Amino acid sequence: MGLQLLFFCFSMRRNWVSLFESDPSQPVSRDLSEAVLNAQSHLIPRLGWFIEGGAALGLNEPTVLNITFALLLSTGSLLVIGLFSRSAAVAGWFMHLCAVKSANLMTYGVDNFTTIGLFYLVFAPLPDRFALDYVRKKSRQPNHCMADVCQRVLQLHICIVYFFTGLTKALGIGWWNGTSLWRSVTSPPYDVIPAHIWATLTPLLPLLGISVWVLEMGYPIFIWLQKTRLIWFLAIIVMHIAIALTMGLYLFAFVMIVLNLAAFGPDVLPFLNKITLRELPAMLQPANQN
Amino acid sequence: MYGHLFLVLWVCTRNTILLVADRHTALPEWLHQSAKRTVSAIAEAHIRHAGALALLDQVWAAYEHAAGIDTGYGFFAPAVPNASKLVFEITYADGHPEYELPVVSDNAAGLRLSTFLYQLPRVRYEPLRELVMRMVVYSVWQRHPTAKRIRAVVGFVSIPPPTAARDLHVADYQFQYAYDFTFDTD
Repeated sequence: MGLQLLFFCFSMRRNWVSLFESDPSQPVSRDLSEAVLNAQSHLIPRLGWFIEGGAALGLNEPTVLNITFALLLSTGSLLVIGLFSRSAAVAGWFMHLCAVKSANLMTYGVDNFTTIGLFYLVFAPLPDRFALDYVRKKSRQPNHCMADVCQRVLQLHICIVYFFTGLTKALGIGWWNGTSLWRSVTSPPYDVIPAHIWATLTPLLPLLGISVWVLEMGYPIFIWLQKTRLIWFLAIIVMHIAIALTMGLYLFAFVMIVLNLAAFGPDVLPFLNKITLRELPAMLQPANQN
Repeated sequence: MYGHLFLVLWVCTRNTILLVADRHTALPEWLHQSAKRTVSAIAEAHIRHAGALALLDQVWAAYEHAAGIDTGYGFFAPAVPNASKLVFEITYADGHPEYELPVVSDNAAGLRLSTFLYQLPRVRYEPLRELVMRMVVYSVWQRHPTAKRIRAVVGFVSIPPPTAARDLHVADYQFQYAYDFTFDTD
């Protein structure tokens, strides 16, 4: 998730100040987005809070925005190296949330799923074996009970997500006859591959369209069955890689793969248990009671 | 934990019912009507208790946003809409028009702009949609302060079917709606 935060910052680096400052020359201002947020709740975090706080301290808007960007970048970096993991997770989640909510008229799936991932990270036991925090204070063990609860909630959440994504697709005729898949990959700005190349695959489009929603709707069932778990997991990962390569949704694919790995990775790929400290290194195993 | 998952389930279910009620699905008419009645019943119940549960409502909405569970997950579903396109027709005092497209600095900004254009027609509250368009047009006017009138034309890109694309037919643009704003530059 740290990498995802860094990618988010990288993708926003050129537009960060112009997107969030109250500048009338910007097509969609932060003020408007936050006014729309107010219609839902005044308690939803937003960058306006930082800007008001900064103004009280005599800081102007671009300065506050630059500071928040630097902080977000720092929290992403700290999460990647695993230093001050808990504080970085909380700060990263909060600032990312403020940013995406202050641009809520222009957010898409990736922002939602990054929020979901960061939200779980706030509660998830940290650190893992490669984290600097683990090296710093080796004696502190992650809470395994909490890890199981977090993983189970994330697993169920991901299952609900895939089920409803698949269901809503199955309710439209376009995902049965291939039209929707065709439009997904040829509509701007997702038309990474020219339409005439896709056109050569016309006979396959209905099959591919049906495969997508079958894969998604079947996820909550087949990911729990021992025999189908690995194949379904790999198929979903391949689907996300295909989305990234054919539609240019790299960040979206990345966060979905991260969430899948976090939810079912340790069950499907047992070596992940060693990284996440589910299986304690020999030196940290409890002493034999006999 | 159970409350959180219940909320996820509720938001997804509500979203699916809304899609059915809005006739975006291929389901039979009686199901559309049932979904419509369900949506009305939920809205009615919400309004009836809006006063008493105002604070709870605010906390609930804030939690949904904080956990990233405020929207459903019907991406590109049940049907993939046409990509929207926004063009500004800028008319000056002497009557000559100029045309301008929204400018983005990179692909990431382009994706966000396309999301905005996708969401715009879905803003159900017309005064809000007009306000959004007013602000968008005002930002264009900042770059063209001598313009007398700016028309924001929203259209959609009509994607050709695979058979036409094979013959390298390009996408077609179709008019959806437009907003006119005049400026007193004297």
